[in-house]
Amino acid sequence: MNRRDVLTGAAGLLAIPRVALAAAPAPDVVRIGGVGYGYGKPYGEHVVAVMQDGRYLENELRGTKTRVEYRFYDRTGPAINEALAAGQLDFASYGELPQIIGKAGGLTTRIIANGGVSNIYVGVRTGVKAQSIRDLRGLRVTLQRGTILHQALDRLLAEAGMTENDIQLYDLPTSDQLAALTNGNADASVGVASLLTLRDQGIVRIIYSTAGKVTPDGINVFSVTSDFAGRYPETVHAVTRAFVRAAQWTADDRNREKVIDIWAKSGTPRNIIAEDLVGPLKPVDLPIIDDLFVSGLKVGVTFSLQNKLIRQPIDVNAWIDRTYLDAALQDLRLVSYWHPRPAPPSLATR
Amino acid sequence: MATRFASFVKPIAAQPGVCSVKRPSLRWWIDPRTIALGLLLPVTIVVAWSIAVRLEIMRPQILPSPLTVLATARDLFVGGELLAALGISLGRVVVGLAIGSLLGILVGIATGRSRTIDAYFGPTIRGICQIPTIAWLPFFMIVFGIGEGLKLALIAKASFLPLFVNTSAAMRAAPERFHEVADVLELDRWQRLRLVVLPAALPLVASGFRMGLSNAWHVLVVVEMVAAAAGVGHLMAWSRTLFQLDAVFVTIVVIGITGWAMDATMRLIESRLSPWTANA
Amino acid sequence: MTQNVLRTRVDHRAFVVPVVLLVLWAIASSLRLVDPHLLVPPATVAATLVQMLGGADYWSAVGSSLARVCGGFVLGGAAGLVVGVVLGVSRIAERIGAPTLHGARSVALFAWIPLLTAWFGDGEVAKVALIALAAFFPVALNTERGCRQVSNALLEVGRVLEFDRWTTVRRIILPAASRSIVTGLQLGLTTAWIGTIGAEYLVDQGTGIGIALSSARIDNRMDIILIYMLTLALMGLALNLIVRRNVVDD
Repeated sequence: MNRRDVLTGAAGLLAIPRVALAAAPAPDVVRIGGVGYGYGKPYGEHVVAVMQDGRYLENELRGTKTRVEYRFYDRTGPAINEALAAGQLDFASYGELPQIIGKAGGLTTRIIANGGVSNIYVGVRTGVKAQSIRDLRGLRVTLQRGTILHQALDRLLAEAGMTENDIQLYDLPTSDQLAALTNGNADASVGVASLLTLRDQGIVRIIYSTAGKVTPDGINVFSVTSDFAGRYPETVHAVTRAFVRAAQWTADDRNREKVIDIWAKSGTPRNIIAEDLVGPLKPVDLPIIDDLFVSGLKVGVTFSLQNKLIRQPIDVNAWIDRTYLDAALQDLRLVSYWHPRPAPPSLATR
Repeated sequence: MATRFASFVKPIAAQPGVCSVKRPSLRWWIDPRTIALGLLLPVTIVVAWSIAVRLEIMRPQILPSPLTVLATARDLFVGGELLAALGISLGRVVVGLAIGSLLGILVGIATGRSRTIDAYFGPTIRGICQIPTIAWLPFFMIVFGIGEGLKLALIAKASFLPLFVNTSAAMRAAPERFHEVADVLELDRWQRLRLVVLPAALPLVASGFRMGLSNAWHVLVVVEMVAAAAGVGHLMAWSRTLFQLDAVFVTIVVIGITGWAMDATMRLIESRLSPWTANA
Repeated sequence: MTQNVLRTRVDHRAFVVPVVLLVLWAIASSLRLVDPHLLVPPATVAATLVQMLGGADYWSAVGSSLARVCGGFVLGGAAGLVVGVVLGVSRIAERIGAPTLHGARSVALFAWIPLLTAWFGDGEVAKVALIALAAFFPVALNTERGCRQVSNALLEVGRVLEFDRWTTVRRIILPAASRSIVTGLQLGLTTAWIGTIGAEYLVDQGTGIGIALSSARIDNRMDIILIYMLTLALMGLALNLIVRRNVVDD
């Protein structure tokens, strides 16, 4: 066997996915959903937005008749769950808590990749004397219940030796939180990077952020409906490959500014996104399913049960389907590109 | 009340357009055959629903089975969530309705009795009332925030209009004959008000109050869906977020029943208060 | 001569209160008595108004809302007419259908939204369905009442002339019930309009006045809110005029 044969053989191996794809049953359209940031723009953040912008999936699906559609939902979790239930979406990348709620509500989905991490910020209204989580005692705190923000706050409170009873919790959507803080109807808020715009306007002071920290908070999950996976497994492979490629491009520090540009299309101000991205992207927006990811999900399930968001527990391990991710990492030779993050010891008992 | 005026008051109280739906006489629903026929359609719907669930015409998470809905209803009821939410909602309605109807009656009296006041203020008030209540929601949200003030303001606004319109019309409704009779009997202003104008006005005002209550309930549901942390509207919206459509079904039914019960009670009170009201 | 006619038609006193309010508003906002976000100066509102009227967003919002209300009203009204006639003409149908109809009606209109969005997502279907639902009930109920209250004398005529059921409906019942039917359609249109704004606001996807209001609130733009509220007031007045013009004169 000479070198040419080896090369041909290798090229042939790499081509197998393409060939298999061309031969497999294919849908007319693949619909991917993501989180909208309230600005009404058809763009989002995290890897899914990079995937959209770089047309990774369109490239993967070249030669098939499948079209690709992206949709970013302003009402985030609940709207995406409804769309999945109504059969209007096939894939979705959104927060783990709404995903848990959807799954418990009967949505049959499979987790195929890590959707990226959202940083969580706690801000207090200027004029309110509070420097740490402990100082939140007795204050009026707004956030949207049933989201990763709620979960993060509970964890922070527990670490400070407090519970929700030690604060006054107001359940409000993001836009109303702004009004409540501005008018003095609330003292503090828990949010994602959009909270930083309030800081820039002088309305709040940030007293805590998970930026740069390793926490089980703010996890986003990329999943597919079991329906779709059952009918078009090859397309799922294609989507996963596109996703991983996009993640790889995102992880490359040379592309950092371009990544920020892409995410800024969603409407969130560019400087906020830039500030939110503390440190390199590679360890943050990674697609792999590691221990931290899995433990974070389990924390989410426990949290949901405790807060009566779901009625029965979910078997996280059964929910995750690694086959597509593993195959994609193999095909693209990226198996050791990302480093799996271990679960923090404090979560071992959860 | 002066019953000798009853015969005069009777004709004016039968204002067209006041009663929107014919009130069925009490004996109507006691007849077993009627009950059976009335239940036929709902039962058929439930059966069709069960079949649809069995055939999975829609995914089970968006079309829960009737049994699940019943079980959830029981849970919510027994767990106290439902009653607590209902209590909060009704409390808001009562306060908001009181404010709105009082304002409506006062303004209605003012514009009804004085043509001058009506000329100045009437068009502006009516113009403002053209704006659907729900369009006031963003406005009040910015003004009041998302606390109780918002809900009460909207409920008050919603109950204001029917009472204003009806009271205003009622003030002008006492026809000349009554005033002639009052002149003949040489009634002073106070007696005139008490014995002629008010009894004549009562049916319309009562009917306005009933419509105000209905409006208030409808508006409350919407406000709670959008900007509340408690109450039946919030319970419904929250159940939707939690993707528990059986709970959504339950809350819809509860909202409907409560609304119907309040309306039926009001009609009963209305008919007792004004026995001379001829039903449309 | 013409001047007298004009004067009697428009009572100038009606404008006093709005003008006074406008003046008070201008004074209060220039004195900064209230937070400028809440009490936007009239000049700002006027400037925004000019800007909006010149742009496409405003008109597409208004147009979308109008299109939706028409679609929903036609659907709901047609269904309401059919159901109303059936229930009004056939006693058996009334016994079977009326309780369910009244029961469904007592559910607050917007309480249907979560169910509709869960079934149909947040696209046009849910919104138009709600508008149709809003129009349906007044039309059905008033049509039913009108058909049922056709006087026996008229029905007698039909029997004497040996009309079959369908002809009776067509030539006696419907004309006799026309006033009620028209009232129902008027109420239906008004309710459909309210339903449109509400559905748009609550579902919050697409274009429309309700959606614009929702965005304006999120952005804390009181001036935009006020402009749309004014728009709604004017459209409501126009709606009243249209509706009254078709009333069968007493």
